[in-house]
Amino acid sequence: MHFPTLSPGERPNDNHPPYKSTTLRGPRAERVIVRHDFAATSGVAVERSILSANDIDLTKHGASEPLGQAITVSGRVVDEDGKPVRDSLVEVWQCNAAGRYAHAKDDHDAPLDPNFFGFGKFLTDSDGRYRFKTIKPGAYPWGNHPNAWRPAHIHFSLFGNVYAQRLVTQMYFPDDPLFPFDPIFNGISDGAARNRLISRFSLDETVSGTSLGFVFDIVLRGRNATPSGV
Amino acid sequence: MSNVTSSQTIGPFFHEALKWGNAVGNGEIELQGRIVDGAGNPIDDAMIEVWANDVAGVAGFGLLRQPSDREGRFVFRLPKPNAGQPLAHVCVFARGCFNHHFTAVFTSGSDHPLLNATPAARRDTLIASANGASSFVWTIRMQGESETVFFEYQ
Ligand SMILES: [Fe+2]
Repeated sequence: MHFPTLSPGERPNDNHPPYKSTTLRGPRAERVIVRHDFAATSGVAVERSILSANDIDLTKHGASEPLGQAITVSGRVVDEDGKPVRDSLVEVWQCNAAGRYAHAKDDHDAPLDPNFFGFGKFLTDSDGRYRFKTIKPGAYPWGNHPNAWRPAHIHFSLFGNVYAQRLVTQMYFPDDPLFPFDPIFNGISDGAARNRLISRFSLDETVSGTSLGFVFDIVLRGRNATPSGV
Repeated sequence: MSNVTSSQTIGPFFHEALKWGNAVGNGEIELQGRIVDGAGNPIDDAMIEVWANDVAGVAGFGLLRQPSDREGRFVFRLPKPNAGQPLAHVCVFARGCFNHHFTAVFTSGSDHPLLNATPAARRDTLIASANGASSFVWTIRMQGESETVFFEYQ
């Protein structure tokens, strides 16, 4: 398996002044380019015992239903050849419908929801597919610049099948009016790459009387994986 | 142009969601780490993953991870590496980092392809210093004169 070089437009610049925290945290030196077996072969074989029944239903973590618009998020995880990334671990986290994280450091003055915590995890199936239920997260303010608000998003952490496929990203929702103002979303300078982080609404995935469906497909780095995957 | 899904920052609010997978390890080597920004200030909201063969992480594969603490510190207990091999392959995430950063940590005297690929003047950034018989100290510097080397795997 090998990992073609990303174009500058699809990898956010480590130093992107509009996102202020990059100023002291983004490395300045070029990455050292290297080919090494560990990155391409260290297997990420996850024990299913880490999964609990409700890890794929974030609306079931409290005593009753959380407030907010119930949604499902589903999609397919593939590599750069379009081959499914099977049996791979995905973690998700998000704020509640009011834009507040169940996290000690979140001081946004919006209500916590005693029935929503916003943590999930699951494995992709043998075709790379996943699906989880949650509520649509709210937008929230942050201190980056005056009147700064993050567009609604869900954080994703993906392990792929080998070390070099690791990815942490954020999924957005269609037509968010905050997109033009968000320096994190716009840190990806290529418009097509940026738009790939926006999920699409799907009536097919919408469950009548229950939840709206959003689809978010993910392409992890890597070509020429061995047929067996892991 | 590929069709790869781009990276976004891990942000500051991952701790509760990811803590199910936090693990220090139970090896005989203690790695005492610290992560600092370009001004030398501790990064108190990073997440550090170490990947090593022979460690049993909570997810069933060779992964240990820890969030950094208020002083930017993290600790792992790692198995003794085979001669020349790294103590661990490392992946660094933090608010203010759009991308994750791959690096690795070695003990002095290692001879390894990752070190050999690194310009000689920067190799020291990948070497943990001994602090007693089975303890090593290592600082990840995101910027500055001794910026840690980060890898791009091909
Ligand atoms: Fe967030």
